[in-house]
Amino acid sequence: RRAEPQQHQQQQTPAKYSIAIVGGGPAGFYVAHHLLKHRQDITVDIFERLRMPFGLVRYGVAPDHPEVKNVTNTFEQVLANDRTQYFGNVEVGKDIGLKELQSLYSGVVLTYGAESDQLLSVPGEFPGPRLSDNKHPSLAELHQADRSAAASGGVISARSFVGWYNGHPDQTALNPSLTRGDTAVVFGQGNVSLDIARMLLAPIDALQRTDMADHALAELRRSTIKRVVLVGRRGPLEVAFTIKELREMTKLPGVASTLKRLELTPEEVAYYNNERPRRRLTELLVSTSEAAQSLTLTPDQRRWELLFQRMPDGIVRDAAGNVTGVRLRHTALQGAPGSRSAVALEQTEFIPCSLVIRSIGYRSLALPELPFDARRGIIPNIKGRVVTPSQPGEPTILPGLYCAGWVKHGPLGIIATTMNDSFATSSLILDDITKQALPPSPVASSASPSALPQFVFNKQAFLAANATELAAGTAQERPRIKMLHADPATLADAQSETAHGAN
Amino acid sequence: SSARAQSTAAASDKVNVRFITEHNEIIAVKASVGDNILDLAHANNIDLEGACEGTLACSTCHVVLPKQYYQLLPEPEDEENDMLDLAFGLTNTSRLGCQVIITKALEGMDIKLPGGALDARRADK
Ligand SMILES: Cc1cc2nc3c(=O)[nH]c(=O)nc-3n(C[C@H](O)[C@H](O)[C@H](O)COP(=O)(O)OP(=O)(O)OC[C@H]3O[C@@H](n4cnc5c(N)ncnc54)[C@H](O)[C@@H]3O)c2cc1C
Ligand code: FES
Repeated sequence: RRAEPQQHQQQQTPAKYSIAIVGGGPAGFYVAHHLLKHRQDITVDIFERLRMPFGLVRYGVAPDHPEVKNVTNTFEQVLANDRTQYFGNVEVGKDIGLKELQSLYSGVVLTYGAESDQLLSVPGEFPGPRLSDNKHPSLAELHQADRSAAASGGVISARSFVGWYNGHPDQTALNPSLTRGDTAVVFGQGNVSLDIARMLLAPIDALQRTDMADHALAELRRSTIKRVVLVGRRGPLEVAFTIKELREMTKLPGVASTLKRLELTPEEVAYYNNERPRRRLTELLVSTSEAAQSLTLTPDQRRWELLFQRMPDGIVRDAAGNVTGVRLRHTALQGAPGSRSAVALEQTEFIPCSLVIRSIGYRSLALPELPFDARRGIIPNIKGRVVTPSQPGEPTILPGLYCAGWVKHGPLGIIATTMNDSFATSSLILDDITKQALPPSPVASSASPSALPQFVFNKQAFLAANATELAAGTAQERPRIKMLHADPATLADAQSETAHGAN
Repeated sequence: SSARAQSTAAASDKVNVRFITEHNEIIAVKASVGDNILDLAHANNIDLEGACEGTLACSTCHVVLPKQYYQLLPEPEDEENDMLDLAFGLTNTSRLGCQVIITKALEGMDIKLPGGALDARRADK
């Protein structure tokens, strides 16, 4: 059945080129934005696995960073364009195949982000039978593992934990318990780790004014976690978080930064003095650690700290399978500052804790019918053109297939990175059109995915849901209250609303 | 009306500046005292993203100014420097466009748009 009114025909000049975009996060929307802006004869159809668009801006960015989410105003303008169609609740690779998309569109852009994550691969990481290390577990297995981990105090992936407090439909049932003890250990020292520390420690009344999911607010209100330890394999010069997020931690009301005094060698100082961002970040780390030496803490004081040169060695559980702590192995650093690697030492140490979160990186998943570089966890590509996996010899460019965002360059970088990267991919597409290397749309644009069996969450459904969320937010003096879309009744409502209310 | 009086006053407050795009295209514009560079770019249809809409939460409004003009501006706050640290192609005279307010003293300034250095990537693990 047709999923959408035939908007493309409202054009005076019929659109010549049609582009399918797989994944409605920042990468997908910035590619669409750039394409629509630079040519009038292009239409874009955005396919998104979830009902609501905007990817990690909605389900990743911390709820207390509403300014970052202003970027969705640009994305909403893309949706409002009548050369854009939105197919929410459609998972490419499952509900519609890549080959099929290729047969329907001039070109396909893969912007489906990073839905999985890196494992610690240490004993005790998973309760019960251990997921195998060499074969990366499926997403379903990971979700299942996260849920049973949440019940026993650890190890939860940052991806799931962040999804849980942000109301991600895959994670509404995570139910992590934050009342089992007072210490949380987070593996990883990046911005996601700091986001998590901030959510665990920030005054609950401040979070209450955000769009954080109600189930998370309820659990955080009861939380007994007072201390968050962020563990890194390497040293202070290798932290991956950025200065804005660090400064925020140092200013968090009621929360103490209890860093150990940093002793940097002249060689290290020379290294960080070389580069402005690293210098400013390290100077703030050093001054924070100095200030920490004269802090007086109350017994109930909430606090966070950084533990350097430690790698996970094992997750320790009691007879009932509940996590009681982590075993860490000390490391030595080898190489020049900036490109040092951590080497395991003999010495180990035990840190009692009741919650363990691994935050050592997201990871993209392979899509059926698409080449995938399993080692690097990205789609093999040359500057955004998808290529066949690097066989011996030259990789072959697959015409009409492009990628952008985290699935192209790996799960690193801020929205600005993704934006630049997406504009670069979009420029390739525009070049290819100019050089006539991309065919006009193989089918009339009104004939786009007609065979989708399921409920398509289209533009109208988005607008209705968005308005509902904003109104619910206004009533509670919060930016929005996210619909969790987990409840079939809500879905049925939305379905009949769009069936009757669409125009 | 007072609105008219205001706009006549504004007309005498015009400041000439030029945007230099990443492809070295030169776009001369008339700015008003009190405009910020991001709004000025948008009013003139110039490609300068402002993803966070001037709230110091992105770095997409990064511009590079000539040294003699950079020195005329008040020092950036810590918060602006923190975001600038994430900007692509950061220079000693970089600023965030949304934080720079046009004054008469900036008459004749060239505002360089650095574009995206595509391989400069920030860790966010
Ligand atoms: C916890 C966290 C906090 C962050 N905070 C900030 C911040 O404060 N500031 C900042 O600048 N950056 C932040 N970032 C980084 C920023 O979110 C990313 O740079 C950006 O979201 C990457 O965009 P993307 O489109 O490549 O991926 P995503 O945002 O992940 O979007 C991918 C989309 O594809 C969809 N999808 C997946 N598989 C399929 C499929 N098979 N079919 C259809 N659709 C599919 C997904 O549902 C998702 O909507 C943060 C990242 C994380 C993880
Ligand atoms: S617009 Fe985001 S920092 Fe200027």
